[in-house]
Amino acid sequence: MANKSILKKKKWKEEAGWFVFILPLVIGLLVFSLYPMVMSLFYSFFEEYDGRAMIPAFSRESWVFPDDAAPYKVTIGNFTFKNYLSMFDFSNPDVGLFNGYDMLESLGMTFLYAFTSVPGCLILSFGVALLVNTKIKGVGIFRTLYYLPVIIPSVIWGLLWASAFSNLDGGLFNTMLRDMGLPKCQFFLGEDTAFPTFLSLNLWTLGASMILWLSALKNVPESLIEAAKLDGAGYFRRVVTVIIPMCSSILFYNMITGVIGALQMMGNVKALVSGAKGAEQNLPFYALQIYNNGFGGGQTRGLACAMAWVLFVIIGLLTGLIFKSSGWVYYGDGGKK
Amino acid sequence: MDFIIQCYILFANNWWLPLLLTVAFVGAFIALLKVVKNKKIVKLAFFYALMVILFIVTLFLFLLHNSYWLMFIPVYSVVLITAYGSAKFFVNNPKARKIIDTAALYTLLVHLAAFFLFPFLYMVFKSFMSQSEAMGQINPDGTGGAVFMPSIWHAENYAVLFGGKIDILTGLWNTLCVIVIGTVGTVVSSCMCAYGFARGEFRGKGFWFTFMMATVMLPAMVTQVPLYILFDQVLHITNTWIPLVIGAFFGGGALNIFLANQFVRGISRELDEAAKIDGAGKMRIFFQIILPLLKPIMIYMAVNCIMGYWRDFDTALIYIGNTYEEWHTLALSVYYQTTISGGQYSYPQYQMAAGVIMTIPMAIVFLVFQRQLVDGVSMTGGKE
Repeated sequence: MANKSILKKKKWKEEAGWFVFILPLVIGLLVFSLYPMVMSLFYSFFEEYDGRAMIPAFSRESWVFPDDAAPYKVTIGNFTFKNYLSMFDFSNPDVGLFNGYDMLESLGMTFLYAFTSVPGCLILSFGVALLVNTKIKGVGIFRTLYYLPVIIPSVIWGLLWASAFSNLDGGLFNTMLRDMGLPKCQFFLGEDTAFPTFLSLNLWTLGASMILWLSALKNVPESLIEAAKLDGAGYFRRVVTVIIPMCSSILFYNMITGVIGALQMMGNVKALVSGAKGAEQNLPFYALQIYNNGFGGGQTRGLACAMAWVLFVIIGLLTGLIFKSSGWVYYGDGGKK
Repeated sequence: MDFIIQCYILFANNWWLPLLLTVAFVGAFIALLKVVKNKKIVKLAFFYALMVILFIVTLFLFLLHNSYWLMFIPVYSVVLITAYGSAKFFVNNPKARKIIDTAALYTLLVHLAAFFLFPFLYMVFKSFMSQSEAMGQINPDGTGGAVFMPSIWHAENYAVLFGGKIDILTGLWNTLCVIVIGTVGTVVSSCMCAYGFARGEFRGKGFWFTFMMATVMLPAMVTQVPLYILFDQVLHITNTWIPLVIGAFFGGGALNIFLANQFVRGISRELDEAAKIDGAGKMRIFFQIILPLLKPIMIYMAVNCIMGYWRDFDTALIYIGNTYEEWHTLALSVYYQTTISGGQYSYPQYQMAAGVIMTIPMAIVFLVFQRQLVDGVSMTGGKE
């Protein structure tokens, strides 16, 4: 009996010893993931929450820091669905606040962007990767050159294109258009031209997906390609029937993370619209709207949380849908995941 | 003349039209290749069609006034494509054909390189321009406008960044601090957690691992506001760079742990056992035996981490305000000092000079660790 309890104690000690290793992660998950997630949902039910108190419903004046002039008075009675309702309110197009029309416009543009840029980049960069996957001399230099635009930090990236695609006469592309005798283009400031101009910037960041494809191509066994060659398959046939299916798992993973990342893209746009003033209404990306509502200084932190949750739910449904329809993905010899 | 401008307006207003035409052209080519028996005829026909299109483009550009330098582009491509097409058509020697293909590949690679180099060169050239040149000033007679290359190279633009109108030294120092602290934190803590998951046996292991992997799908914007409030109201660390690095010490990212976990599993258990028999504790085994073996994966994580922190703009923008200059990271100090205070397009040459300074270290890091980065990606995506 005593022996058993000692054994048990020893086992417990052993387990605790292992738990210490993942203790930072556990704390991190609870404090930096679970807690904010729950609180985000909670905050989203308060209309004029400004973030001065941890718990809006129970904030009292004594909780507010002395240098803050007007304490935020909310009671449990202010619990409201207004943030969500305003997002789906189509009765009044111009109320000045974030409403249903803005939401549709913003979500529509963000999704259009995610679902054109990510697959488009993956397809185009596949071509680039095939070109630099050959074993000719100096191919490493070309790879580095193609990757170079990706390294430019996002803040500079935005400012750089804002000045190249400036709507003024002195912009680089407008000068080129003028030299060709063509009328000048508004680029980011034109209602119709802003989105395609922004989309075309992705052409210069193909290097990022090129790296992904290169590492995927590395995993395609040489013997399979040789076998296809012996069977008389031409170059394009080999690409379509052997190389692409073998890369499908990496393609799938990057498609999902790419779409999720594109839906949340903010830094590029933020720098861009601060370079090209006035472009913000033509490029109302959802993440930027959340940033403006959450950190713009107004009392709309609750709305920002609600917006984030709406997107979260959409992303969740979408990911589920993509996983459901992932029969075409090849996961190596182990079969399906 | 009007017709050309009408065409241009049509294409400019319907951006999908040229795209559609290109897809239709390529699609028709592939379809005809499948249907028609004599493939050489189809190839030749489309080759001539391409020529005709390029000829029309050349004609258009010729008809437009004062655009002689731009005519160079279609004429140049006509020459190149004709050379390649006729060489492939007339040469039958397989060895010679192979040489032609290699030459064509190099030509293509060089032209792509010119395309991809454009933003970088634009940035570098602009950083050496004078204020009026960088702004693309239009002369009263309508000439002038943007130039690609500076007429006089102003190297003093770089001197301005270090203590002139703009000061990026504080930002540089802060970014270096963030990189060192954040990278060390990320690497050590994620390796530690990975070791715990790979070797340890304890209750709730599966649960925590699944929980961790689930957070990969959690959009950062969901947690943004409550995290900010937590850092602001409880910990009082906003407007410093501490929020940027604090997460590194608590796991350092699910994907990093996942990667390191895969790596630890590949290490033979006998090493641990031997050390255990010699009387080493778990921590000692980890730090003295396992951690040195994790070097390849640690390099991959560190490089990714350094690049991430160096270019990070979103997070810094949220946590650090405009007026807290002493805590600004590099990206933030460039952003605030060259855009907010000055107004529209205020100092493009200084912005770009700062961009050059921010890009070059990363280019060097990429050059040195290119192989590790490519290998690391296949570890992330391939075996999930």
